[in-house]
Amino acid sequence: MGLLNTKGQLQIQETILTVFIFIVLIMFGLIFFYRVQSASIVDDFNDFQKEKASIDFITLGDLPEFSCSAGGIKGNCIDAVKLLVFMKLNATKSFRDHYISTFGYANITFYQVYPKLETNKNRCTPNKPSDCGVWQVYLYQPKKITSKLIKDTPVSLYFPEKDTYIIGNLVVEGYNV
Amino acid sequence: MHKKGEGEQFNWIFVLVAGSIILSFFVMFTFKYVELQEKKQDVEAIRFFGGKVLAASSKIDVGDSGALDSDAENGLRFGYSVLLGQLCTDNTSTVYVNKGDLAKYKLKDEVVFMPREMQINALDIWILPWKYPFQVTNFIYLADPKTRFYLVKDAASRDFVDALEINSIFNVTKVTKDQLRLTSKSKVIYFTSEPPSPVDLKLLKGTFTDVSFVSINLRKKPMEASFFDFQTSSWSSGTKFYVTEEDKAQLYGAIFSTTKLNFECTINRAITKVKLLSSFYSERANLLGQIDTKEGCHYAEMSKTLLAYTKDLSLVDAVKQQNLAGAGCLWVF
Repeated sequence: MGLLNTKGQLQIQETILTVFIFIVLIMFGLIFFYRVQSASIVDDFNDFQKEKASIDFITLGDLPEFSCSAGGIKGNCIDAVKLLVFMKLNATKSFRDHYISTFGYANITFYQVYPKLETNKNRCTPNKPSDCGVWQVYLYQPKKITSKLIKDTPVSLYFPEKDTYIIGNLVVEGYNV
Repeated sequence: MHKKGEGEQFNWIFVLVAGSIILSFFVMFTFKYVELQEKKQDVEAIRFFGGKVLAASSKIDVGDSGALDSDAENGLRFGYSVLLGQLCTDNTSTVYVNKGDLAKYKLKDEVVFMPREMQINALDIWILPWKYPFQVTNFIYLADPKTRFYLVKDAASRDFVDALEINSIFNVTKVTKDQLRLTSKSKVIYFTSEPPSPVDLKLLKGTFTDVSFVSINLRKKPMEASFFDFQTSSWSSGTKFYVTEEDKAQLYGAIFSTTKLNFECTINRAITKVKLLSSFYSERANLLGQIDTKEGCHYAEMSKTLLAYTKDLSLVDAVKQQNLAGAGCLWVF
């Protein structure tokens, strides 16, 4: 009787263990499935954020802060004087704070492409507005860069003082987008 | 025998406990799965919404407006019911779907006017570039295609109301107080000298759901919009907004909004941008003064006016006139 009793107890223990393992496996399976699905949804959303950021970047030239205008009517070009004004004001806190919340971590730079000149590599600043071809209007980098999204688009740069247009390139680097 | 009976009893208890644990797992999983699918649908909805808004914005020609009719071939139809809401704070404005835990569309430069929340299957979108007097940003107006807008006029406001040009994709009717007949999902905007009393509004609303009331005070300078709150049964205090002869974009914003809080916040975002751009153009005028020393170009004067404009938006006409007077010189904006 004692032996039978022990055998029965062993069988019960075996069954309990089997069911326990079964439950644990199901649990792991479900958790895994849930995690994978959640990650896929988050990825989907991040893809959307990246797409949106890309479109925002290449349409930056449409912002009134950069685009040229005449008599209050917006034109399809970039005003070089506005770039200098933006650089100057970007040194003030309130202005900078506003654009940090708008652009986030980014580097926005306009380059002169044509006509090609030796001075093209020189940086333009409010104090040195001529003999230059690089306008870095906004730079705000995170301490640690984990990803970088670079977008560029050709633009027409307008110099109101000379009433001339040149070909330029707008390059935007977005960090941790 | 007794022992055998106990063993069988134990077996049944064991089967019941193990069975319920397994069953509860599956039930829990089903709920979680439904939650996941909802989240997935929310993200799809916000992607769809964002894509359509961006596409509509990119189609806008210089100085023109753009609209996307939900009935059009490329219109915004979700195919299922979506709760679309807007959350506006001083610094950020977000359009979200359902709870918005994940599915949210953070607005950058755009200014959106829409009801605080709306349960919709499709959406009408109207985008209007806002000039005050310089190009500031795009105003985006969102509404449920089923919403009927009633603009209520009286003798004093008839001409003003008749001159309002709201895009034809929206169902807008201009009526007098006596002609007004409400249906479900109605939005009533009063341009009358006195807004109706809370009692009259409750009677008018009757059992209809999704009805909201706004009153525009045309006599005040700047104009003011008050929103009727059914919880407190009272009109909100007036929120100031700015319009010119040619530009009524902020007024249209009041027509598309349903709460004072959201309208005020959205208007404040727009005004902050005007002030920022005004100081930007003031600085530009200073710089132009250094570049262009031609006589008769009053850049310094213009710079001063623009700086004053950052504090007093009623100077809009003065700013516009000074810029136009500068024709022949370099344009400040």
